This record gives sequence, C-alpha cells and structure tokens, in this order.
Amino acid sequence: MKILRAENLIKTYGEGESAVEALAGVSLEVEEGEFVAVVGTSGSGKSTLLHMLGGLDRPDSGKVYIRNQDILSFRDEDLTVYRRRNIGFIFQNYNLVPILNVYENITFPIELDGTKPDESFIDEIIHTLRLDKMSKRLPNTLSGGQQQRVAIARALSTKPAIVLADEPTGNLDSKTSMEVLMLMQTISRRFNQTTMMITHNTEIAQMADRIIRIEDGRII
Amino acid sequence: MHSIKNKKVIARVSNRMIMTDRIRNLFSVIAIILTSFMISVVFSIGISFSQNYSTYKLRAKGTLAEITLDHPTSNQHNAILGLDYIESVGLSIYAGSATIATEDGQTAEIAMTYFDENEWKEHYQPAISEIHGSYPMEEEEIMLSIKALEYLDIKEPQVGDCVTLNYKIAGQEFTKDFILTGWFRNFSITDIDGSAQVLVSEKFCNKYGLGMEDYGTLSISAPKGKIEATHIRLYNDISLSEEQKFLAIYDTTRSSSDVLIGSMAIIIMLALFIVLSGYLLIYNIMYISISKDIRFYGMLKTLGTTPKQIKSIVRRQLYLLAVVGIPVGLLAGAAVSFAIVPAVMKGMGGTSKNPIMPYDISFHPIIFIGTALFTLLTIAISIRKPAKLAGNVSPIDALRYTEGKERKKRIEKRGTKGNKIFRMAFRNVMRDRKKALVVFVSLFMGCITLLSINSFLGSIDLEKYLERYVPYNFAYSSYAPYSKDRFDMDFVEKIKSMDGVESVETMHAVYALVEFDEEVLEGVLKHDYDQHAAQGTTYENFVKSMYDLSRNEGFYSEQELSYGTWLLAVDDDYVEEYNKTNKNKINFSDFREGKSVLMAGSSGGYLDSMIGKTITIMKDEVSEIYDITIGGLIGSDLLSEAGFMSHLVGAPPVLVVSKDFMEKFSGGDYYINHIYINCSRNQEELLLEKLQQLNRTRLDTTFNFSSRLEEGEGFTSSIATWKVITNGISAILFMVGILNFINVMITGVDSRKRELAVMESIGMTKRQIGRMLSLEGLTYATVITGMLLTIGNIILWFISKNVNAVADYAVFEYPLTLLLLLSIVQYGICFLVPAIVYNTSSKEVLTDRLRTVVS
Repeated sequence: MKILRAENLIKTYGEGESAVEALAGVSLEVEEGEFVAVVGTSGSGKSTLLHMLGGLDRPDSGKVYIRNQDILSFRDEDLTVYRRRNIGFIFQNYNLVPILNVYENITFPIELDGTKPDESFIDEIIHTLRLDKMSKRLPNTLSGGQQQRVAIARALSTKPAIVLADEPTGNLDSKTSMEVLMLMQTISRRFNQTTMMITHNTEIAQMADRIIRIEDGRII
Repeated sequence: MHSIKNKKVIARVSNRMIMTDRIRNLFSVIAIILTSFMISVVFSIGISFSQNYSTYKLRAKGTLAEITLDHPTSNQHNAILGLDYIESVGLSIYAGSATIATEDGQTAEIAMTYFDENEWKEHYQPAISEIHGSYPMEEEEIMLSIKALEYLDIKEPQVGDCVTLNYKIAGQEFTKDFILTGWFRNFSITDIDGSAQVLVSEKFCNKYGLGMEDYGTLSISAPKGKIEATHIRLYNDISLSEEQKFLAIYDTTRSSSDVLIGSMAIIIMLALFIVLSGYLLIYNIMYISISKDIRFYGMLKTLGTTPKQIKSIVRRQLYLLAVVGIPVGLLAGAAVSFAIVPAVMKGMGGTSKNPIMPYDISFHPIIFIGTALFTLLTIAISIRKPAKLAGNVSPIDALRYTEGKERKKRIEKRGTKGNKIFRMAFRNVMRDRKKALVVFVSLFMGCITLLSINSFLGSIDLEKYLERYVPYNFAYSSYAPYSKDRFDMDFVEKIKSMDGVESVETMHAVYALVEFDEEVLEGVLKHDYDQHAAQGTTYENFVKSMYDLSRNEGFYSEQELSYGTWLLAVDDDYVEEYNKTNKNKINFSDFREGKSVLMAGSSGGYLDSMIGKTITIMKDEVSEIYDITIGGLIGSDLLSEAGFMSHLVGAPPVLVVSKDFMEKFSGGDYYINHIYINCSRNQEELLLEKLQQLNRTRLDTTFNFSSRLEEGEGFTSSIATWKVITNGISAILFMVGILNFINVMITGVDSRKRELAVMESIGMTKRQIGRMLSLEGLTYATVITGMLLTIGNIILWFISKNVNAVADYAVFEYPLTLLLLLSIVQYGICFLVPAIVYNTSSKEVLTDRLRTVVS
C-alpha cells in the first residue's frame, strides 16, 4: 500500500533574478514499511522536499498525499494536529525540549494530543533504543547519540504513518552514526515503520531499502 | 476536533519554562507589582473618598431625616408610621435647656432633648461618631456630646459619673444631679468640637409632662431621591392643624455631586493611564522575551504544538507571575494607602477646617477585586500580541534560525574612534523599531506627566485664588428660616465695633407672599412640574394643589413657606455685573424702586418665559401690595447666595431686589442672611479669634462662618497633598519608563552576546563596545528629550492655554528647572546602564562567549 505520494511539487524562494528554484516538479511514492533515503548535495532541495512532505512548509504548487489524504488542504491549526498524529520528525540537531526530561520528551506529542500514552509501546521503544536508564534525565545531560535516540523515540511514539529524518546523523561521529542508523533500520523492520531519511552521505544512504537522488530540485 | 485533555502538558511546559528566564520574571513581576500597586492606591483613594464624602454630607446635616413636623399629635404620629412610602419616623422632644458657665466667663445654653428609639438609632446615630455608653433610660440619666463635656470641664468621662446641671423648663429653673450613661461626638460646620447637647430619657419628659404635642418634632426620612415627592404626598395624606407644616431640607448644594463626579472622573482617568503604562511595560518585557525564545516556540510547533497551545503556554507563564505580583502589589498598595489616603482625603476636602470629613480608609473588597481585575485586564491585553507572535511562528523559520543565518552586522576594523560607532549605535536602536517605540513612549509619558502636573499645580497661585473666591476676610451666612437665632443689627454692630474691621456688608432676605395666577406663573409651574412633581401627578392636579395652597388662609398667618418666595436684597454692583453679561439689561432706577427684579435660575428652560411677566407680592395679607416685573434670570455664578435659599416647589424661585425696595417692602423686618467683613491685614488673625469667641456665644449653630485665613491654609495644604500624590504617580510612571529602558538594554546586550563577542574577536576593544552601547543609551535620551521639546512643549502650551479654564485665577509657569533636571537624570541613566550591563555580561572568556549559541 502506498503510504506517501507527492505530485509535481514546485517551490521557488526569492523573486526576479535572485529567485532560486528549490523544487522543480518533484513526484514520488513511498510504500508502507519502506525505509527510503533521499540523497543530494548541499542546496539540492532535499531539505525543502522533506519540509513539504512533512507539512512544515507549503509548496507553490503540487500535492502531497499521506494515506490518500491531501494534507495541504488543511488549515494551519488542523495541519499541525494532523502532523503530530501522523508524521514523526527526526532532526540533525535533535530539537529536544530542554526543560522536559527524556520520558516527557518522548511522550510530548501524545500529551499535546490529550491522549494517554500507550505505556507498553513506549516502554518497548525505550527498551529498543536502550534508553531505559536515562528516562528521568534532562537532554543537556546526554551525549549527542543519546539525544538523537531520544528524538527517534519521540518520532515513533505516536505510531506515525511516516517518520521523516533530516540528516539524523549529521552531528554525530561515525561510530555513533552507525549505531543510530542500525537502530533506525531495526525499528523500520520491527514496527513496519515507513521511514524517509535525507542525507548527503551516500554511504549512510546504503542502509536504506531504496535510494532517491535529488539534484537542482529534480529527482534523477 | 474533539475536546482534548492537554492542559497538563501545557501546564508542565509553562511551569518549567518560567524557571528558565529569571531576568524576564523579575521584570514582569516588578511590572505587575507596580501596576497593581498603583491601581489599588488609586482605587482605595477613590472609594474611600466617595464613602467619606457621603459621611461628611450626613454629618454636616446632622441627621438622616429630611422632613420635620413640629407639635405632632399622636394620631398624626401613628398615621405617618403607617405610610409605606417613607423610610422611618422618629420623635424628638425639646426638654428645656441647661445653663453652663463656659471658660471665658460667659454662659452657654444647651438644649436638652429626648430622642425616641427610632430617632436615636435611625436618624441621629449615623450622623455622629465616637459613641460611648448607651442612651439614658431612667429619669436621672443623661448622655452628653463631647462639646458639652468640654463646657462642663469633664476631661475623662466615665459611665456612671455624677453630673450636676442647672436647667430651665418652661421658664422654671431646676438643679439636679444626673448620672452619665454615655457620650458622643457630634459635628458642626462652625466648630471643630461640634455642638453642645444633652440627651435625656423618656421618663424625664414624662416627669415634667413634656408631651409631643407641645414640645415634640417628628423627623421623617424619605427614600433616596424622593424627598420632594414625599413632601408633597405627606401634605395630601396627613391632615394638619393650621399652625403645622412639613419642613423639608433639600440638598441644595448641587455642587456636591459635581465634586464627586469630578473626582471619580480623575480617578478613572488615572486608572486608565496606569493600565496603559502597565501595558507598555509588560508588553515590552514579554515581546522581548518571546523574540528571544522564538526558536523554542518554533520547535514546539514542529513537534505538533498548535498555535492555540503555544499561546496558552505564553499566557500561562505571565499569569503564574501575576499570582506572585498581584498580591504583593495589593499589600504594598494597602500599606501605602494607610499613609496616603488620609492625606488625600484632607486634600480633597479642600479646607483644613473640615473635621466633619472622616479620613478613613475603606478596605472594601471591591478595591481588591477591582485591582486584581484591572491588573489582569492589563496583563491580558499586554500579552495578546506577544502570544500571537509566538503562536504564529513558522516552524521552518524557527529551524532556519539554527542554521547560522543570523543577521550579522558588518563592521570595519580601521580606526579606533570615528563616527562609525555613533552610526552603529543609532542603527542598533532602530533595529527593532517596535521595541524602541515602546521605550520612547513610556519614558516620554512619565516625563510629560511629571512636567504637566507640576506646571499645572505650579500655576495655581494662592493669592489669586483667594482674591477670586474669598473676596472677604470673613463671611457669615445663615439660611432663613431654619436659623432659630437670627442675625440682627446688634450682632452686626458688635462686629463693626471690633478693632481692625474696615467694612461690613450685609445681604437681607424677607419672605413675600405671591398672588397665584396660573397664566402669569406658567413658566415657573411648568418648570417645577417638570423637575419636582411626584410621579403620577398630572399638571392640572399640580396647578390645583398650588392654587389650594395659595388660598389656604391658615398659611397667610404664618408667612414662611406658604405660597410665596424669598426676596434677597443686594447692592447695585450685582446688577452692574449682571448687565455686563446678559442681553436683558436691567434699568437701575427701576431696580432701585422695585419695579424691576431679577429671578434666580438658569436660562434655557421654561423659566425663560417668566421674563417680562409682572407678579403681585405682599408681605402679609394686611400690608401693601406691590407689582414687580421680572427683568431677567440671574444664575448662581453671579449670585451663589441665591442658590442656597430654599424655594417652595411650584412658586417662583428667589427674587433679587434692591435694598431700598427691601426696606420699603418689609418695613425693616427682614432677615440678615449674609454678613461680609473686610479688615486690615495685620488684624486678621486677632479678629478671627475674636469672631470665633463671638460665635461661641450663639445659641444657634446652623449658620456658616468662613475666614479667608483658614481657607488659605486649607488651600495650601490641599495643593501640597495633591502635589505629593500626583508627583508620586508620575514618578512611578517615569520609573516604568526607565524600567522599560533597562529591560531593553539588558535583553539587547544579552541576545547580542555572541555578536558583540564576534566584534571583539575582530578587534573592537571592550571600551569601544562599551562606548557604542552607551551611545545607544544616549540616543534614547536624545530622542526623548527631542520629543519633550516638541510634542511635550505643544502639550505644555495647551495646558498654559487651558489652565485658566480649570482654575480662573491660575497663572501658567514654564517648568524649566524640572525639565532640565529630568533631562540630566535621563541622560545619566541612559549613559550608565548599558555600560554596566555589558561589563557584567562580558566577564566570561571571549572564546566561551563566541561559542554561545544564541537561543
């Protein structure tokens, strides 16, 4: 089953001579449970693509369907709610809420929704990501790899349709990077979690089921 | 969307966020404290004033009752008790007078009175204070006023003390030992210590056979605002003997409600001003705090926090701070109110000889609730925009923010001095226009209030005030016919013979019967029907009741308050003044002869139609009849005395005539209503003492005595109090401005920490940076000084043009010294604060500061 479908996404930044075409008509599809990597050089438009797919930004034209739902047709407030229920994000700089502890960070999107966390599921994620012993600690007491594991746990906590990861290992050393990627791969398999990861590192991209290349705002 | 239970997580985030920004918290709490403090002070002044003012009015009147009936029969008493449209009826009996030798060798006669329970509890007690003991029940028991205790030389009274009194009942003299059951303080306009009074028991009256029909008076209180209607209904419902009549005391001092409304308007304006300045401060603090945390809010949004949720996170933080700030502000306000309110009460009372006005502070729950509400309102409007800013942040922009795309300032290395620094400073100030504007406006507001208030109060000149409003050194007024002990020529002669007296002027009054002619009097009838007639009364019935009254022969025998009006005799200069300002000029010789008179009242209504009408008056049914023509209407601005005289509803208002005509009309039998005395300056104090002594010998205390000397003292102290209060408030406003400025500087330097470190790394010395920041401060000071010199001067010019409209005796003075002082203080603070802030924040090692990620 196709979980994500993008149709002819176009996005231009700036105007006139200084206009930069970040996306020049991108279309793609992702199957449920797939682990996809998007690779491209700096400025190729891969981050922009991720933002469009995740509903963080709106394209000038084109459509994004998640589970056959046109997410760009939502109003901002509803889009935010849709996003926190259906899309998990993992960022290069982790973006943990510094004032909440590890467990609270993980359950944050669920609690924003006003629902009770599925504790056994959360425990399973925490266990899988080896965060058991640090669930009461604050983010600034953790190492980079640990912080990124918390971010991954948070992205998974709502059982999203798709997890979007933007250079998830960009701030980590190579050993830790490998560890984190292995975990992401494991999770994708174990929970049948659709995951899309963008990276400029082709070596890292090799860990994915499928690699999509993007250059000058076009898929090649 | 279904309703979701996400309050917990929102609360958790706000509660923890609040701990992360100490400086913001400190400033917000100070802002909230200042706001609630100022509002609570203003509110407690306002509410206390309005309560004290009504107590003052009640005490000045001496009773809660408005209508009296002398010599009532018990049938009448019972009939009135049975009426449903009156509030209460009390009975008092005049039980003779006690004779007491006073300190200065004179004797004073003190009235002995019995009050029944209704009269004592419902009418009298509310108008007195410091009540000790209880009302006398037994024949030999008495209660005394503090003034009476003073006359009797009793310094430390005890309940049960024996008091020996000499007293007269119906001409017979008695001496008796009484037992004191209590004492109280009553109030009198003429004497700080009130008037002397002896209260006796019912048994005492019974013993001497003092019944209500011979010695009694019924006092009736009417529902609020219905005195006149009740007065008229009483005449209809209660049958009276020929000698009896209902006397009503109307609240003729219309200005009293104006005073109240005026003061309330000032207080509401002040409250709004405070809300505005509180808004500026809180808004600024929150706006800066949120811009600083914008990345954080963006991140929350990426994670799925909706704009609504973010707004409530922002709001919740401020409300948590309010929980701390408001109570502290309220407590501080309450503490200060204790000190300030009595002073302000004195100031608002106007004159120092006003002990009747209590200086009490009211701790009414309304003050606390109102302050909390107003402060919350301020907070709610202050947080709206900053919350919106946080709620509407684009997640993408917030993410970009971390990618190092922060605005950087280009700076050139060359030169250690140069005007570059100044230009940079100016650009930095204007970098966030909104922030700069808030600082400009709030500092400017503080300064201009200080300047305006000082220049306004400074313009008010005591000498000019006295010249305009207290044209005589001393003045007596007595409002016939209530005064039992009339002023007579003997009294006037006594005054004339005193040392230092230069001139004595008098104003005379006499009651005239008016022939009822419906056609001629139509203007008066319609005016009074419109203003005073009871609900449900038709015009025809109203006119008929006036007709009946005029035909009621019993009334003619006792002239006062039968159908007729007061004639007030004045000197020619009033007519001269009148002719200067009015279209309908009065012919002097006609006026002197009494052919032409003026009627008290303001134009623009039914009364206008009375001009030119000729009415017929006489002193009594056996005296000569005069036809007089009404030449015009004279307002209370020209002749305030007329406004204080009573007028029978349905009959013409006070008629102003010449002294010649008064003499002719009354045959010399008139009241002396007003006595105005001028004296040489050096004798004023001495004469005041003599007159006060003279006043003490008078039986009757219903007259009014005023002295320019005392008015002046009162005026000075009232202006001084006002200066303290208003300067206090504007000083707080000025402080709010400074606080805003300090906040902008601290957060500005803090958020530019890295930027400043970058500058240092490329060769800008710490001194140069410090100087640049100080220059930024000076830019603020210069802009505000510029605003003061332009907009400020326009406002001051406006005040100078209008100061006379508020107080016609005022002379405007430009507040140059204060302006200079303010500028110096401002420049000083603006110069020092930025440098100090930078010095404390730049103590870390440069590399550490460079590494700081602005978050």
